[in-house]
This record gives sequence, C-alpha cells and structure tokens, in this order.
Amino acid sequence: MNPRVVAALARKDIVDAIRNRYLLTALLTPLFVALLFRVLMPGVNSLNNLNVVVHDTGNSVLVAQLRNTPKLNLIASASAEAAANEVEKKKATGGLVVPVNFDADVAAGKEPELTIYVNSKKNIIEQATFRQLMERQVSSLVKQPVTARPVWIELGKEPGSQPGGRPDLNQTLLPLLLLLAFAMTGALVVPLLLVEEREQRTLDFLLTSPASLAEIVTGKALTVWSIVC
Amino acid sequence: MNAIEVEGLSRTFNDLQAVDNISFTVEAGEIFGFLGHNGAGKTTTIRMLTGQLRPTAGLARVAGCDVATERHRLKPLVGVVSENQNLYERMSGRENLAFAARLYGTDSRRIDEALDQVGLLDRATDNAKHYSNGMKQRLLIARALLHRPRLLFLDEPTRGLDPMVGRDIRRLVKELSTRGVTVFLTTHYMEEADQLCGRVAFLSEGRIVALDTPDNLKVAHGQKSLNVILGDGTSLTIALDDEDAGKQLEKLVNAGQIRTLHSAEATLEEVFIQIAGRGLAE
Repeated sequence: MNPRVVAALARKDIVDAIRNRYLLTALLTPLFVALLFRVLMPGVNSLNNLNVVVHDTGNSVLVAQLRNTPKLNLIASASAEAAANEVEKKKATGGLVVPVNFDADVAAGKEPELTIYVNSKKNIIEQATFRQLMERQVSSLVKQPVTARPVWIELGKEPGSQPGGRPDLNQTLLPLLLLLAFAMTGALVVPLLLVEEREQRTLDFLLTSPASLAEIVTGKALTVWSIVC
Repeated sequence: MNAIEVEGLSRTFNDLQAVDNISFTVEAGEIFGFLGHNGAGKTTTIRMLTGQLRPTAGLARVAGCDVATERHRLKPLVGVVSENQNLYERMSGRENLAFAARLYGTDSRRIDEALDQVGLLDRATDNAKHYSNGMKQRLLIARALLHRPRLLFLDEPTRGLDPMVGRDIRRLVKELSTRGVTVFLTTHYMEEADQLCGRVAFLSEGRIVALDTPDNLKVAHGQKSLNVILGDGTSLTIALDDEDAGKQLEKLVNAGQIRTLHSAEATLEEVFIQIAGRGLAE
C-alpha cells in the first residue's frame, strides 16, 4: 500500500466531491443526523445543568464533591421528607438525601443508606446522566468496594410504565447510533464513489495507473473519513 | 529489442472468444497499427497489454514485464489513451494532470510542459467539461505522456475529431516515435494507419488475419492496375494481371491516344475489405 497514491486519490476525491452537490450531501448526512440528535435529544454527551435537590445536614464529602461538579446545580432541601416533593415541584432531575453520619459510616464500612430520587418526567438521557453521576461519585468516596448503599426511588412514574434504562445503555445507545450512521454512510459512499468512477470511465484510467484496487478503495474510504469526521 | 511480445494470447468472456490465440511483436520505437471492426478484439487486447484484464491463455510481455504477473512494474512504464474521454470533468486541465502526477510520482513541473506539448497551456485552468472534443483528446494524450512512458497505447485517438486536430495528433505521434517512444495504435481510419504505422495488423473476430507493412499488404493483396486517361477525356483501367494488358497498352501508346497514365495501387482499406470481408465502417 503506497501512502502517496492513497493520499493522491483522497485529495482528488475531496476536490471532486466538493464540486459535486449530490455526493457532498451524501457525505454530510451523518453530520445532519448528529445535529438532529442534538436538537431532539438535548442531553446527549453533556451535562445540561442538572438540578439536584439535596438534603445533607452532616455536610458530607459526597455533596462537597457534587458541588464541584460542573453544570450541576444543587438545591438545598430543609428536610428528607420535603426533598421528594421538591424534586417534582422544582422540576429537578433528581434528589439526594444524605444521612447525618454518612461520612463516618462510610469510613467504618457500615454501608449507610443513601436515598436517591430520580425524576421520571425528565428525558431518559438526563435521568441516565444523573444516575451515572451518582454512581460514580458514590463509588469514589473511598477506594474500597463497599461504600454507601444507594436506594433508587423513581418519582412521578406513570403506573405500568417501563423502568428507566440502565445508565450504561442510555449513555452508549446514542453514540452507537451515530457511529452506525457514520459507518453506514461510509459503506454506501465508498461504493458510490467507485460507481461514479466507473460511470465516468475514469476507473479505466485508475486501473492503468500505478494505483492498485486496494489503494483505490482505501483512498475512497479516506475521502469519506476526511469529510464526515 | 521488442517493446511488446505476444504469444498465443486469448481472452474469453463466458462463451464469447473476444481474442483468439494472437501472436505478434512490436519493436521499440515502432508505430504499430492494430486495425479491425468494432468488436474485433482491439480494446480487449489493449486492456490485456496494459494490465487491466488478465488473459485467459497465452503470454504477453510489455516493456519487459509479464502482463499477468508483473502488472505493478508495468504500469509506470506505459501510457494509455483510452477510446473514452475519461477525464475528471469537474476538474481543470491542470488539476487532471496534477492528480496523474501525484499517482505516478512525477515532478509537478512536468504538468506545464505536458500542457504546452499539446497546446493547452493557455486553457489549463478551465474545467475539462468546457473543453471541446479535440481539447479533451489532447489533454488525454498529455496525461498519458506526463510520466514519460516508454510505450504509448492509443485507442482510437482521432475518432470524431475535426481534420485539423487529427492532423495535430498524428504529428505528435510521429514526433514521439522519433524520440523512441513505441506507439500501439488502434484506429478506424485506414489512411491514418497508412501514414503513421510502420506495420499494421488486421484483426477480425479476435484473430490476426494479416500483419505486415502497409506497402507490402497493398502489393500482396491489391489489384495491380493502371489508370489511363485518353486524349478524348475518357478513362480506362487496365488490369496488369490480364494476359492482354501489354498488348492493350502498346496499342494505345502507338495510337498516341494516352494523355495521362497512373498506377492504381489498392488502398489499405481495399486490402482490409479483401482480407476481412467487410469494411471498417460496416
């Protein structure tokens, strides 16, 4: 495989594609798909200022860590009982009730109970982001397998509705869909570029040039990758 | 030294025998004409000799490389002008050549030289789609010559071009030959082959039916005759193969009736029709 030949093919195809509206549209489709996801699913791949209601009378390390987390607004709650209501009332993503001796109990390995409310009325991405954030923060409290015991409570859930997705699944689903869109575009556009060479009969020129078939296909793939990534 | 050596070359497509056991050699610096009807197997032969198509049987060495096993070594040594005007039409003339230069690893300074050689330097920045047929053909030749190949394959290079452009291309081909470039030419124009080629091969239904210099073919296959124009303006053809030809001519000379006398050798096209059974245009 000669990199000079592959680069020459890709460079030619990029120049040619920019001047070919149909091909350019096909190549930019994954970008449109990505933008569409951003518009329809605003929580994708970012924390969009999650509001979390917190009741923490013991000034725990966990809440201190959460306070330093970017794009996370903590709303203090006067009591553990009021926290659940405030999550729904203030349309927060979730709520957290930390027991008084939480830090000491964690250090002692007592696995203190940590009540976490999740607002089911929020979109699944926001819920998943919140769940993952809480799990990460709890597990980072001490470098031991046993820390606190989270109790997840879903608020505002319609009777008979499906439980919220697992954080990992939700976090990976959309990137996977995007990856699939890119892969499918590549899989469609590379043959499209080859068919165009054949229709213009320029493939004959390429086949008489020092470029091998493998270099031609790699050049096309590099073109697609250069434009869509 | 032979630039091309072909021995028993064949190619079949399913049941169709496109090229059938052909053998010939082309010397370095020679202009070799490959003539035949549409579908006779000319382009298939070129595609095999340029490494685009694997032969079904037989051997072929081009510029010292086996076309079946040494294609990678062969390709930088040959230039090909295909019968189709296969340019990147959304790119300018210079961009087309710049792409070819990158593929072949040729110095980019050669681009303007090649454009100048075919008279396209002043239109180098125009998109190829705005070129006339003649300009496209000249650009194809410039692209094929860019990497200074030892051997040039020209598939119908003057088809559909006006006589002036055709003449320019023929002049360029002759010039290349004097510089030692071997030219393998297919054409429908017998006069062109007659003017340019040192030797020609006639191809019919995938087989070579004749191979020699144009003059030898005309002598061997043409009718030997004289065209006589008489004093009263009438014309007469005397076939020299006729037993009475001598007496007939003597009689006309003695009577002082002859105004002009010309040899009427056969044209290459007539020879082709005689050998292949039909004309190229049919």
